[in-house]
Amino acid sequence: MRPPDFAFHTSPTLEDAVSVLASENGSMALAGGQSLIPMLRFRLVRPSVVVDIGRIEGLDTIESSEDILEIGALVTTNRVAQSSEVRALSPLWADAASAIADPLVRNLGTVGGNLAHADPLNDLPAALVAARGRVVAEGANGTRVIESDDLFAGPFETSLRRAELITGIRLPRSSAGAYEKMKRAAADYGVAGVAVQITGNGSGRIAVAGIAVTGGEEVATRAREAETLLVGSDADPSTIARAAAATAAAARMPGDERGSPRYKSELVKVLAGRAIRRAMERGAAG
Amino acid sequence: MKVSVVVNGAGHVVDCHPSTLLVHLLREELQLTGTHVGCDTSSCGACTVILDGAAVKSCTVLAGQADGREIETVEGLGPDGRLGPLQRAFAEHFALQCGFCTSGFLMAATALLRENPEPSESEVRKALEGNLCRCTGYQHIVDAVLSDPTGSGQP
Ligand SMILES: Cc1cc2nc3c(=O)[nH]c(=O)nc-3n(C[C@H](O)[C@H](O)[C@H](O)COP(=O)(O)OP(=O)(O)OC[C@H]3O[C@@H](n4cnc5c(N)ncnc54)[C@H](O)[C@@H]3O)c2cc1C
Ligand code: FES
Ligand code: FES
Repeated sequence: MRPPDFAFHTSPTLEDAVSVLASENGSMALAGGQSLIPMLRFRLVRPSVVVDIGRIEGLDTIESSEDILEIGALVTTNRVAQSSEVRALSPLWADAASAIADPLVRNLGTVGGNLAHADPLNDLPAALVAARGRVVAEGANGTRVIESDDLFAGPFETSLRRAELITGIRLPRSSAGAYEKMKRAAADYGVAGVAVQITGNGSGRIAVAGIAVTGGEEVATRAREAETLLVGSDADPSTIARAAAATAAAARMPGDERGSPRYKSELVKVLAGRAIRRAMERGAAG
Repeated sequence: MKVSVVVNGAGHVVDCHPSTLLVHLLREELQLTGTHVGCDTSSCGACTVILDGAAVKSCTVLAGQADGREIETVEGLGPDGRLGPLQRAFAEHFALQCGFCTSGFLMAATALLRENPEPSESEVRKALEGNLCRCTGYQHIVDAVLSDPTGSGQP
């Protein structure tokens, strides 16, 4: 299948991309192309102009400060998966990026594109929500910072405005994080995924817990009740079991060719238990 | 639009439509038909080429994204019409039957061996996750890649 006709514009700078996207009706940004090009081929979208943002400089860095890990929008998901800095400062994100598709897709797909596309089966939205990360976006009216809870508006919908581009993300650092995903085949989207990030209070109790689910009815469903159950506890087995059940209830898993709601909800429970335990083990180790 | 690419070391300037996919640029404009289209849904990896050092699915790259870049295809593995070492390893290990997926596997494995000349079996399997083969059952392909075809693991 071949894409429909469109004009192709390579943006040398962020300013150029924002101004072309703002002025051209029906224009769309292209980053890694690993979601957009399949959609073009299936003719699910018909942009007038494809604006390639992939060559804009300065958006492909990974940097860290005392408590924040910053990842540029154009960093490929393979780089996130392989970065020792990400592995140390946000094992949740290292896990989630490694779980995406296959290395060929990850070599081109970007962090910004994975979030902006807001596919309910994309893995990074749940990782952003569980980490309580922020997205930095640049548009015609300047820069704004969007909280993870305010980014996803529904399947394939975000609160990004027209001609507004993600330039990077800011993640609170935590060694107590994990992402657990179940796939049917090596290089497939998941059936479900659960992201967990925890911050301890320094004396063996949980101060902040983030839990979000991939594959639910919403994009990156936050499991609030499960988070509340964990906070203040020392993650004893019975609390973990109750938090895992609450995660499954919050996710409201839809039935489709990947499984029935009942099967998927059982799966989310298992994945949530594993992710919480692994996050706690990692937190204890360092 | 005009797109300039270096393919297997040779420069080309191609005049193509903006909606052209890299795989079609290679196959139809440059007549390099060793790169195959298997699924056309970005799932099979038969179209794998190396773009600026990274293995990618050429059916999921627009020509304009490849402009000014370097591309390696299966034709580059055996420049004089003779098989390169990895290709010989595939033949010796029965790593192909119908051969439709083979060029994609060769390119993905070439990128892996360059980065990691002595991969473990699990590293090989992970690196080839994006490539599907309907014939061999994968074990022979993994064996071929593990057979140290380029001799780089030798002292
Ligand atoms: C076979 C296959 C399997 C896959 N499996 C998975 C999987 O298991 N998990 C997973 O998470 N993903 C999966 N993906 C999707 C992949 O991770 C994509 O790379 C990702 O969804 C989009 O990132 P991109 O850089 O390729 O964006 P593109 O495809 O270039 O763009 C996607 C959308 O985001 C917009 N966009 C891109 N960048 C920005 C930006 N910086 N700011 C604002 N808008 C932007 C574009 O306009 C477009 O609407 C799979 C893809 C394929 C082909
Ligand atoms: S033809 Fe490109 S992935 Fe199948
Ligand atoms: S040899 Fe036939 S598909 Fe791989």
